[in-house]
Amino acid sequence: MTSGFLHPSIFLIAGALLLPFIQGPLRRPYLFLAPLLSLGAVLYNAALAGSYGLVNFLDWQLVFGRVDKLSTVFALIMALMAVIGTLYGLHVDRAGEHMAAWFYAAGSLGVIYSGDYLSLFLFWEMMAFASVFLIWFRRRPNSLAVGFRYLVIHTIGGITLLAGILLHYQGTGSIAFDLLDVAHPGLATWLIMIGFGLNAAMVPLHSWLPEAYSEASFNGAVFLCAFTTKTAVYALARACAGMEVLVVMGVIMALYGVIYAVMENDIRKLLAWSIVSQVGYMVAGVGIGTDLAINGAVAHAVAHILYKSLLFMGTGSVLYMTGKTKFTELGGLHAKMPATFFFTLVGCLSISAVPFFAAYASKSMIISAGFEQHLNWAVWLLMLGATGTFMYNGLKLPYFLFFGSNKCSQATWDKAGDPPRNMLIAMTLGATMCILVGTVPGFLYALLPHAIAYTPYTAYQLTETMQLLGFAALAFFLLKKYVEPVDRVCLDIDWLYRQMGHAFLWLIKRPLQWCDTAWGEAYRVVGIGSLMTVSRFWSWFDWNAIDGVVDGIARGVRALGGKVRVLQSGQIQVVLFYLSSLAAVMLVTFVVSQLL
Amino acid sequence: MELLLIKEGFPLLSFLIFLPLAGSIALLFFHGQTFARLWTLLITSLTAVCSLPLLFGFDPASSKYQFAEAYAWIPRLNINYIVGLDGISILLVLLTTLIMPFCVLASWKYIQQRVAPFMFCLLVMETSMVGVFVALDFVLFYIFWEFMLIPMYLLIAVWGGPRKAYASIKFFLYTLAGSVLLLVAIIALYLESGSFFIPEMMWQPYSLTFQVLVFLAFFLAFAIKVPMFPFHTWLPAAHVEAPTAGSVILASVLLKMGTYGMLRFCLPITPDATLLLAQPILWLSIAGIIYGGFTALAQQDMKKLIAYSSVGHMGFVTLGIFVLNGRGVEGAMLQMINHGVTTGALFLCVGMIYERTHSRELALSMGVGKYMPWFVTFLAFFSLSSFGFPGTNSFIGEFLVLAGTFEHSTSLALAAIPGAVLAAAYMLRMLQKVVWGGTANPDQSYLTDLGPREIAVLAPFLLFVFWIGLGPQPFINLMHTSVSALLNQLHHWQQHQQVAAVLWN
Amino acid sequence: MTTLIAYLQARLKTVVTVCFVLLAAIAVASLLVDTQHAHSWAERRVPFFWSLFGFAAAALIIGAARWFGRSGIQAPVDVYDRTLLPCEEEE
Repeated sequence: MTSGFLHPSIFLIAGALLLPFIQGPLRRPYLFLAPLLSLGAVLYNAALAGSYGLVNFLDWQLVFGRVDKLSTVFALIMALMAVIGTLYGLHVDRAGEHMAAWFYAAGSLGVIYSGDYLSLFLFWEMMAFASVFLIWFRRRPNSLAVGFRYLVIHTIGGITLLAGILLHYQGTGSIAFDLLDVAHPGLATWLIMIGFGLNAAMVPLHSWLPEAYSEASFNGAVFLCAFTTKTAVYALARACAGMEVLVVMGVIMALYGVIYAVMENDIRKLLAWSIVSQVGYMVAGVGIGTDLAINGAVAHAVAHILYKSLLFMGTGSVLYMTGKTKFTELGGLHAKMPATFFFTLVGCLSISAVPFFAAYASKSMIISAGFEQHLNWAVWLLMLGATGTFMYNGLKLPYFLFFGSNKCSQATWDKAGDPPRNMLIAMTLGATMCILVGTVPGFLYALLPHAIAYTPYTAYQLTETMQLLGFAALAFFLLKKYVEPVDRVCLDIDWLYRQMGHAFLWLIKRPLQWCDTAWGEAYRVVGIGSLMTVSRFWSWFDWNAIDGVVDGIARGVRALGGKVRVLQSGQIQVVLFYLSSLAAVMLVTFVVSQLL
Repeated sequence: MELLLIKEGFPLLSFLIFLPLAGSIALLFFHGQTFARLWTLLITSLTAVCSLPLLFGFDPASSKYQFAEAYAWIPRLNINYIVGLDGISILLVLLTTLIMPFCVLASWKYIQQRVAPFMFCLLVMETSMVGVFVALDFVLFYIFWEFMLIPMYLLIAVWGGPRKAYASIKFFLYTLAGSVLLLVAIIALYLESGSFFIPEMMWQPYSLTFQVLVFLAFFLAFAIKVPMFPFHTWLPAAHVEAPTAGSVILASVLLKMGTYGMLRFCLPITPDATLLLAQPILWLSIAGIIYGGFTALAQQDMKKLIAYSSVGHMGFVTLGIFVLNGRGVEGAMLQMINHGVTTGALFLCVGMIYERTHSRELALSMGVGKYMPWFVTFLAFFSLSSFGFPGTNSFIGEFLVLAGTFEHSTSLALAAIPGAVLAAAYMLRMLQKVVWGGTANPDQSYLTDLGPREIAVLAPFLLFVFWIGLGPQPFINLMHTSVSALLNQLHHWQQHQQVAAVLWN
Repeated sequence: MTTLIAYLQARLKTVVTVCFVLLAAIAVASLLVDTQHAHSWAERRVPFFWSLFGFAAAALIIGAARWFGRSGIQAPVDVYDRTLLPCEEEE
């Protein structure tokens, strides 16, 4: 390793491996320390620029530390997230959960800092396999199945990515992780984009997200919401910036997520759909590709991590305290969980892009960039989506969860209360960051990859936002009864996949196994059967024909022998007579043959 | 003879070949169980240790046959005792010698009846396996090749599972059928060239018809051994019924004899035929990869699942060989070693479960994770390796093979990709069932976790999984020169003959 | 916090009135603000543009979601258990 670069993943991985040995009172400080060290490493690296951590592996050179503004800003927010997330789950006893979370974060940081596709792929798979444990640790009856679906689909995505990497290597001879040929994308570019896109939950490869994130443990979800999708956004920003199809994809994602979130009954699934929607904005920004757009996508990613984790922390607290996650089983909780309500409200305001809260600073950048590139249709649709976001996340969620009619059972109501101190501290941190980023966006802008002079606090922008929010709120309260949550599950493309999956397995089990057995039977019937028939024929032949001949000869010889025996008398002179006659005949024959 | 680097002094290769055989003689006289186990462990460990000088004395820069020994045997018929080692065979020899002690350790408690004959069979098999990989005279090769059939047959027929009679006969007849053709091809080559010395028969200008016929004869014999689709149906039966040590030897070493044969014989002796028939063989390999994946997914018996997964993995190996470029062949060779390590380890794991539950049905071993944490850790890592998780050995092998295949033809490589997905699917499914099970797990509380002997058996395999996965360079260095020499000669040859272009466009 | 909310809830009518006043103020402000930085033609010409957009967008989304939900996407909670083929409980 070249000096001067500290890979933050080392601290997390080493920390995870040592964790089982740290018991008792040492554990909590240790849990707090390890991610803090990795954050320190990231801050330390922020001063650098260039490629570090070069390792020669077979024919290639792996780059483990590619530091530039894009990777630094993502690494910073991810490392911060690791700290906040661990703090949130500090009281969780099971070491495995923390280990999984840290490996997951380590994988994400590894992807962000990697400068070549091979090391990227290693960390990419590490992320998938570590994060699945965060789903399994919820230990509900269906957690296992959900986790496996998650794992299989991420493996498929990983293999698609690998195919793209190999093809790309084949075409260009290099495994460097840089901008691909997006103007004229070949098969390799498509495959790599799809591989990244699956992690970013691009429609139609998105169904894993709502299912998995709503099934995760209460603290696991905080990690899950931040790392996978935003690392994928980073990868897209690095490799596919300016790829036009991403604009279309982003818009589709934004709207798709909104519609489903409005219908959704489970509070965390609603947030998961919200992730699909918000990542759509980032993907659209990456697709637009201009400096302002990329800046906007990155800023939005940072803001999103902050407020989404805050939201998951808030709803996670509700889950942790009451054990319930459905609107139809909750409601009216502001009285019993005021602090949770406050922090969740900050998160809701942030995602809705209310001025002085996080997303206000970033969403407008993407919108402006879109208008600059004259992608008007896309921008109007994104604004539509933004209104929707405010609706389900800024209004529906807080209203039906903390106000509205109280559908809690008595047991739920009794259990409700503000969560333990560490969770509250974590939420305070998150909320502070959200407000900070929203009020003083300058320090976020300074971290962005491209230098752009931009400010969202113009009079026009403010009035635009206030109008939008104000009148959308009016519409919501007037049409409130149409958004009332019902205890239903929303079917999605994954219904199709599951049916196909079952059909597929049935197909393999019955016909293919039948074919294989049939082949074995054929071997037995045709192969062995005919073999036995032939062998029985030869056996007959052997006995009757060959042996017939042999036996015939034997009988003949015996007969002849019987005749010849007569010639044998016991007397020696008779024998001598015959012998000498025989010798004479032979001599004569020999002499005659030599003369001829 | 200039291809051979004759070893002066102690005949190491012959020693390695015949030491197990000599050791087995002792078992004819002493039948005690404990003695048999300890003695065999001693002999196999001794062989393993004595094979390490091969590694240290090997010159990776030379493509000649090293440690060679040549003695006249039957001069009238030009049959000689010639053995030698090159980059292609050294890793396989080391795999064989190093895996045998673990097979003995795995059978420590597993085999309770007729222990001495069992160990005798193991030792005789070791002799023939090492002999196959180093023989440089055709008759010698054939003798060693056939030599291992009887002990393997006995291994399955005497110490096997419920359907052992069926499986052992099937294995024996299938393999013998192929070998007979091998003999015919050997004789044909002898008549053409007048000698049985293998390197002399390489790169000769035989007529195309002759080459094609010889190639097909060789190919059939080796394809049955590998096993390639559709000649694979003996494998599931044999693997399922064989005892653990038998399965490990079968999977780790015997299957490699087929692909070794393809590299050693089909390519250099009949290059025109290879170039001509490479394309259909590549598609056959793809068929094997996909077919193996599908059938593995449908299995309820763990051993059968791993058996079908072997069909898939060996499909990758033959794919790598027949794309005929550096990456592909090196990847294929590395995959041979990887498969030997990983699948051998998986069979050892299944054997350990079987010793406890006395069943290989997945349904009965569901949910053992809670009671056997060490076991599931090992199983998880070996499963990850089996489907090529980055950082493990199979990832490097598959990556190289796919890189080589992409160089050759994109559509072919894309056709192989679903195989990788299927591999992940069936391994994860097995892992899920074994570790966590479902909602109706049988009561597994009587299970004990791995003891020190079992951990000692599995640990070296895990070591190699990660060593080859994270630092494959030394392994590739060993084989690089020989593989490049082989491919260079093939490409020189190809420039003089334009057969492939004419017939297969 | 709780006391603040209780205080507001007790005076719900006042809160609602205040909100309407605020909305009106926002709408008026939209007329006064400089539309130089507006991105498109529609924003410059149409008065109360964003107010209308916000209201219409919200209504549209609520309507669309309801329509989708009614058309079958919202299914009973045990839908997967019912449509599973009988032998496949593993997935």
